[in-house]
Amino acid sequence: MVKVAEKTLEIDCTRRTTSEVNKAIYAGLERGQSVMVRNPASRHNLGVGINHPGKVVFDGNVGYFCAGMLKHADVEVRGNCGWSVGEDMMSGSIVVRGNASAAAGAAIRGGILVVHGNAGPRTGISMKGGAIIIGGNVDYMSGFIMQKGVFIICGNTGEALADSMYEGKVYVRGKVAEFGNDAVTAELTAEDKALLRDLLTKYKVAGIPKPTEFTKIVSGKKLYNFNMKDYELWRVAL
Amino acid sequence: MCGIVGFMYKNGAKAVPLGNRLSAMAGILGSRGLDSTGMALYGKLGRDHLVLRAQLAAESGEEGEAKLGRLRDRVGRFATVDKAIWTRNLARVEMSGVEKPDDLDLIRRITKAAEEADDIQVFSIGTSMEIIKDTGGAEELHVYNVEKFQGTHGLAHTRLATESIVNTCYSHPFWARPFADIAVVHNGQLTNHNILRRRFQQRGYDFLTTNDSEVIAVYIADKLLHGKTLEEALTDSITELDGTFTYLVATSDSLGFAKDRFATKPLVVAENDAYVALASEEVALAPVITSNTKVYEPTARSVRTWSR
Repeated sequence: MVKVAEKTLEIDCTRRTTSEVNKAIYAGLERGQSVMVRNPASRHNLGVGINHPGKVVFDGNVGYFCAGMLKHADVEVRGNCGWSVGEDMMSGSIVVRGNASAAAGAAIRGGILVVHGNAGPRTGISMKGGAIIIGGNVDYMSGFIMQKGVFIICGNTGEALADSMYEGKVYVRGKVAEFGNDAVTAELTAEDKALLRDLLTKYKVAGIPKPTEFTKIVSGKKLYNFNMKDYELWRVAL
Repeated sequence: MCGIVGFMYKNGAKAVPLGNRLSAMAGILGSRGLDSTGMALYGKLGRDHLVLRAQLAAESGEEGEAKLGRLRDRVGRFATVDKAIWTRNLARVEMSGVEKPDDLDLIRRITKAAEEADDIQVFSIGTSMEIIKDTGGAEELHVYNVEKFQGTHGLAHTRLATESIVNTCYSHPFWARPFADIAVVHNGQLTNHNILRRRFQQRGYDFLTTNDSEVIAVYIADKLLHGKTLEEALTDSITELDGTFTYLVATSDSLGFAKDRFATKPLVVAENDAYVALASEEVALAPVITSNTKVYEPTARSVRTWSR
């Protein structure tokens, strides 16, 4: 059933294919409506390819690749996410009220992904811009080969955090199980603190912790150019 | 990709609908692999009973019944055969009057006798566990009446073959020969399964296939035989098994999982006071998640067990 109200379009996923749901979302946004998606029932590929401003809410758990390749819109998931939420996001925002599974925010180039719960392994893998904020913990190899952007983790991390990162900044409030190759700590600057304060306050993540509670992690840049002196690092990194 | 499913009712001795739950979950996970589908179902048998499940291929009903008769005779050398049925390519033989039903040597001898003629392959022998598997999707198991199976806990698997050929013997779940009631379903690939299998063979273990996942079943059962708890065995496997894996193991009264350090193979757990359900994807758990169900995803290197 599609109910067209004045301002909000309500889409029930029951008995509709994912393709039908997504087309209805695009159409609603183009008409200037907000979209409420009911009964997502952990289904995959919901909200993929949204390319229009507006507000989209998934009223429950979603499956893999939710809101992938997102542009412009503000998406909220009132539940948990499967793998790769917001993969390749270009702009807009995604707020997940529950937990996210593996590869959340993989390869995003812009926009912001906020997960209030925990996120799985390989969160923010190959980030190319934008921002990711995780209220809880992240698992193995999060921030792997990060190239640009901001990655804030309010909880603890798994092993190999930010392995082989090129650029960008990672901020961790909790315990780092293991630093990845060439991921090194750096001093928090006034600019870092302002950024953390602004983002955490805006999205009200993890009770809005103080910026000074975070450790900053950046690339040691030893993997930029091969150096025989760093042979051991290269051997492990490759 | 493969889909794995586990389910356990936590309380009560009464057998409850199990096959229909596993069947529905496996049906949804058909999206992760349709090469074959299988289940390990834990039901209720008499105290001195054993049940054997095996592949028995036949061109005609007559040939099937004849082979079943001969299987019945061979198994009958060790126990009283109460019931023997044959459906499509699978045989089920229920025995009673078995003094020590979980005796490894007895189960070895029954397996050998069953397999010595008519190209029969034993899928499982258990005091409560039965493995039913076939090529194709979950609907291929309807013919074996799995939906009507009443039980306490079980495993299911939908396979997308990576390590070995597609046929019924190489389908999951895998039984840990010759341990009654121990079965495994696995998503991933092991890289050290050949060396492990050779070591187990040198110690007298017998394998039905060259599949990597069958080795996990024997690996865990052997640890239990040597006094480890299920949780300890699963924890050891995180470092001793090489490759990628998330697997589930079930015994007569327990269910557990292990997830490797790379965490490349998914698993979602849904648990409440009445039951625990595990599946590769949450979409398969959606029918059993209620408002009081806790849903979470295990982290890398984690194990957990449940017992009834």
